[in-house]
Amino acid sequence: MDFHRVRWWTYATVIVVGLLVLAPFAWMVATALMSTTQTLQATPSVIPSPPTLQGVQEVFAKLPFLRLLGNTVVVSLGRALATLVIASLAAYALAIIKVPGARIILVLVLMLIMVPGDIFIIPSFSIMAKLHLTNTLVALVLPNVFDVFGVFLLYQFFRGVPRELIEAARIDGASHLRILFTIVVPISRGGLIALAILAVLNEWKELLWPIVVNNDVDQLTLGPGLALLRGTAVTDWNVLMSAGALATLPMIVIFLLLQRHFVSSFARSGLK
Amino acid sequence: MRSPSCVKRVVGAAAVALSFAVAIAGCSSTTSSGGGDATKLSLMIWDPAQKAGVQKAVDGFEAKFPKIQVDVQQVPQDQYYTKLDASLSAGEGPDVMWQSSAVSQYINGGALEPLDGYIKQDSVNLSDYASSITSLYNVNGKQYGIPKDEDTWTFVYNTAVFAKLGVTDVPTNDWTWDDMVRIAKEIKAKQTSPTDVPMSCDRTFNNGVASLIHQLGGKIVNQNKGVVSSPEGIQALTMMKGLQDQGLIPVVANSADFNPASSLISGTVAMAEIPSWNLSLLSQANVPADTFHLVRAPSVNGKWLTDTNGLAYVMNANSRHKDEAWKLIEYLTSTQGAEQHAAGGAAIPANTDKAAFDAYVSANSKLAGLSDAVAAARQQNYLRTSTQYPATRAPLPQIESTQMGPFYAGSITASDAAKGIDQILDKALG
Repeated sequence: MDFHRVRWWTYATVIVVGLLVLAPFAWMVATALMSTTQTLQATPSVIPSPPTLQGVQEVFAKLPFLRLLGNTVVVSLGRALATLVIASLAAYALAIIKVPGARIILVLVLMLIMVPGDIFIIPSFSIMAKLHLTNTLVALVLPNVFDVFGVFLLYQFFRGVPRELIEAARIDGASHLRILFTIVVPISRGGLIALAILAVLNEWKELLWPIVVNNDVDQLTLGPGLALLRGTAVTDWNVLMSAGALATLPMIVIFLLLQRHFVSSFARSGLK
Repeated sequence: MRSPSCVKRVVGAAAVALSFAVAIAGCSSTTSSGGGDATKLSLMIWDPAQKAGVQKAVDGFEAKFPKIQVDVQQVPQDQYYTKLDASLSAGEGPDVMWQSSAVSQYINGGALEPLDGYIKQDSVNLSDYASSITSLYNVNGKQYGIPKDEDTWTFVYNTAVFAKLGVTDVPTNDWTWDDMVRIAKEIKAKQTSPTDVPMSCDRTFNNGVASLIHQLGGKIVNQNKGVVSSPEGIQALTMMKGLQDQGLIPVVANSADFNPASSLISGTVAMAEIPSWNLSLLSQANVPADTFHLVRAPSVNGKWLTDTNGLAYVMNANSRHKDEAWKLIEYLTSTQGAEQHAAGGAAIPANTDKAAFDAYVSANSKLAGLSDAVAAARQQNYLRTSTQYPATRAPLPQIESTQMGPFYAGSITASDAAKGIDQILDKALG
């Protein structure tokens, strides 16, 4: 049983690291509960005295917060779903069917991963403008669903599916789509969940693209919405931090609900 | 190998996915243009602190022209130019937008509409605006923008701190550099806390030091070459370092974390040089009215030059409603529009009409002496180096970290720093 005994320094490390991680969040929440004048105090005080919800009220006055939250949920889920479908079809073609030139395609995919995404902003905007999709929620999702990293990730998982299973299914007359959805996908569940989580997280963090492609605040997601509260020379930090705290809440709830999947799927994919 | 039924299913699935996408597009696209025959204009700005003021002016415009609707789009400054580049290159973009000293690249790219025809047609008088700002938007003999605001620097002192320390020798609108040093020394002698500093003034190359060089009669750039290693340049650098070495301004090691406006509010400095775009921080501070008193910058050799820059409203060359867009620009920069905007309090109107300036002053009525100090500051100013020569903007951080920092820290001499700055400027101006 000695093996399972937790030593005191483990606790100490956990407490110290935990505090380091939590401190910025605590500061965010504390600032969120201050008034604007309290945030301007030199020798800044960390404890709001008296605490006020003025910042939170300002957030709702300045931003259609619930609309932004709704947009973020719709866009994140849409992005995750579409990415999964497209990436798994592509990875299937490369890893299982091994279409002619699969290796070359894979090298191209790897090369695309190395290109910084911001380079695509101007061409993507032109395409969206030609499709008359600027200033829509679709424009937020569409350019991001062809996720080359997702293709590569699923390719790695699909390669691990035993050939015998697929050959047996082919002999029994199963179509490729059937093999994909009934054999390959269930076996590679961990990879798909990791990809879905990454897609949702990436959309939640997206800042530049939504601001570039959409104009109306009603068509934005939370990240750019928060950026609108950031001033050029003067920022009401309590308002910004209130919005930040409100925007973080759903992610914390989702994490608590899906904690098990997060940890296990990332442990399996070696990602974070 | 591949069965035809599989292909069919894939095509079917793709069709379903496509129709799904189209359905989402259908629901979410904004079809709110049901306002009959009203023309819709878009106006893009970046500063949220000015949004309320701009919206006020836009409301005034819409009341005057009920058939034109204006959608004010505020985009964070960090993403403003990226968004502009993407949308203008795709032939879209706002009808009317803010521009700064980055304007020339948009003009050279053909993205902006020259306004001369409209200016003539409606006999707009460009001499109603600060001339240095107006000329900034005149490229190749054509006027592309009408100035909206003009920034400047003033000195602000905290009257409560002066009273507490018992210093009765206060800054005035006719003070000199020597007066400033004398007052700061008296404050220093009476301050008790070791973390307090008598004053702060802008010590960066592009603002404080360059202004001092101009005050001494020198220049930063001459015939496309950096000329900081002139006697004036070296004297300015030496004067600024002298303030630090006498303990009158924060030492350079502490200056990165130093925030003049909040230090002034908390009273850890008694007086500070503050840019006009930070004055609304002082207006919002939780202190009694008249705690802060403004004066112009101290004079050196009879001059009190400070640097300035200003934004303008410009028109998109791709706009589908150019006549209406012009009406909007004309209104926003008119005295009435500038008054409505200035009531928001965040920017000094470039329109030199007294009514516009009065609106700005009354929006900042908590700040004593604002009107006289800003009026004096506006009399003697010059275009900021990075505004007049946009190519010098990019290497500014390099100048601060490789020349000004070591100079203030005492590891290189004033003449070495001046030479180093000239080299960096020459390279940028190339």
